[in-house]
Amino acid sequence: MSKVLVGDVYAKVIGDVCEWSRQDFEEGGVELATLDLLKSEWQKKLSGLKVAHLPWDPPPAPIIKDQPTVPSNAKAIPLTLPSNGNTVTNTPQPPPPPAPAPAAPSAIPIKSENKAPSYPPQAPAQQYQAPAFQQGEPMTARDRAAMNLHQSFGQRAGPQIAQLQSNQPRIPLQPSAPPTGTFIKQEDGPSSFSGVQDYPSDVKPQIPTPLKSSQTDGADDSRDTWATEYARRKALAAAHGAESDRLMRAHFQAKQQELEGGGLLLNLEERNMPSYSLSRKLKSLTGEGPSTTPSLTRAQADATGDDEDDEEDEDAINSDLDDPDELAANEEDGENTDQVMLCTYDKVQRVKNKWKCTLKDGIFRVGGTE
Amino acid sequence: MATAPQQFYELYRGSSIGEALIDTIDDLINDGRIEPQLAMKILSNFDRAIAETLAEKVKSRLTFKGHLETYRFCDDVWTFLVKDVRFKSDGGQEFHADKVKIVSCNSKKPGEV
Repeated sequence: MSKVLVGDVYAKVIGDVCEWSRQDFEEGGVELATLDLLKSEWQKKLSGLKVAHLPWDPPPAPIIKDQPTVPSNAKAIPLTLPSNGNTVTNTPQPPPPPAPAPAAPSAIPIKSENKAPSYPPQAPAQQYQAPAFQQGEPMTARDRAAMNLHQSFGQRAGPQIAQLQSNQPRIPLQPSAPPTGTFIKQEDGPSSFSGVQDYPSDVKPQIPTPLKSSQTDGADDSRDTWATEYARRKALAAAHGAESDRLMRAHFQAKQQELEGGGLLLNLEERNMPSYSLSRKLKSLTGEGPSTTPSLTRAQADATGDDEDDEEDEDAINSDLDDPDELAANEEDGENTDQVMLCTYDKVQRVKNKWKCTLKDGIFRVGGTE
Repeated sequence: MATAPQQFYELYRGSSIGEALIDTIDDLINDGRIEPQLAMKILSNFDRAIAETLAEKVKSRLTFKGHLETYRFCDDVWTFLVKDVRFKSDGGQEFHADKVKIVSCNSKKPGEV
């Protein structure tokens, strides 16, 4: 490959992969920011290898600050601040953003109290507003889920529905309210509702109320849960880092070895066999081989200690054989993998001891360049 | 992806760009940002992207001569270990390598004639 071309080709490959992976990210429910992070890290790593001059090298513009939840938090904070300022300065302004949000949905159930007499319509914290979504409002999926729960389980589903409602208060009902309304829980109690009805006449005394209700309870909650989840995952990664590390690399190495006939070409000492446990993990990941889910092993019902047996297998036969192999492979790895050409062939001919090969679509690394 | 991802070789994952991607994905998985299943999809996207890009964009040619030390043909994959190789590129550039491993898949996919 000519040197000028390498950068272009790599840039196109990275662009294509990111574009095609976008849909997979969306389907997997992963933030697209992670895709950007993947791209920038990939470019950085490739630049670090210094195999070629890459198009993104001259402009040093890698976007790295991609904490998944940071954007949403950053949005929330500036929005709350100006809205609070508005309530203080513009006293006649009719939409004081945070306060009416809980008022409107709960005002409806007050009137329709007789429809669901078993639940107090004021809807304080732990109760749920069963009839609220029977009023012809556009129903969200959450509403429908809550209604289903209500219909099938009646009163017993109360806590679940309350949880549903307090997790994500309904946004579409309040088109005029700024997004800060999304963070208000509906647990302000009757006092704030009555305060809202009196709101236009005396705003000044009400200032503490909107401030209080715009405390962004929800946001804090979700940030807290996210923080704990993040910390938990961090701890998990730290604890199991040694096991999960290089999973993809091991997978790739296993595949590569498969491609080359399982290391038949190499001397026995040079062979780099993945450890049994790793290959087993990889097989379960890629869905190859028999799936050993706990339920299946239990269904066998004659082998009592399957899980233990598995663990013993790792120690029993293979580990003794693998370890020396891996050590030897690490020692001699360098020379073997230094200069590799990866390509496809059209034709391979041999006449006596003269070989003639027609190869194409190759990547070749020699002397550190490609 | 329109067609089955298995139609593209995973061969190019061993290139520097593939290894850089694998390292990056490893880091992301360790951070808990993506799931391994998603990583597999990304890698199959990579297989497709690099195969198509190489076929479309790369037109340069390279000839080489050397002493073939080992050869093997297994599962439709040729592997050569060539020593003392002398390469000649399109532009008349020449360079030399002591030892080169060539891994080569069939350019015709199993279904093709």
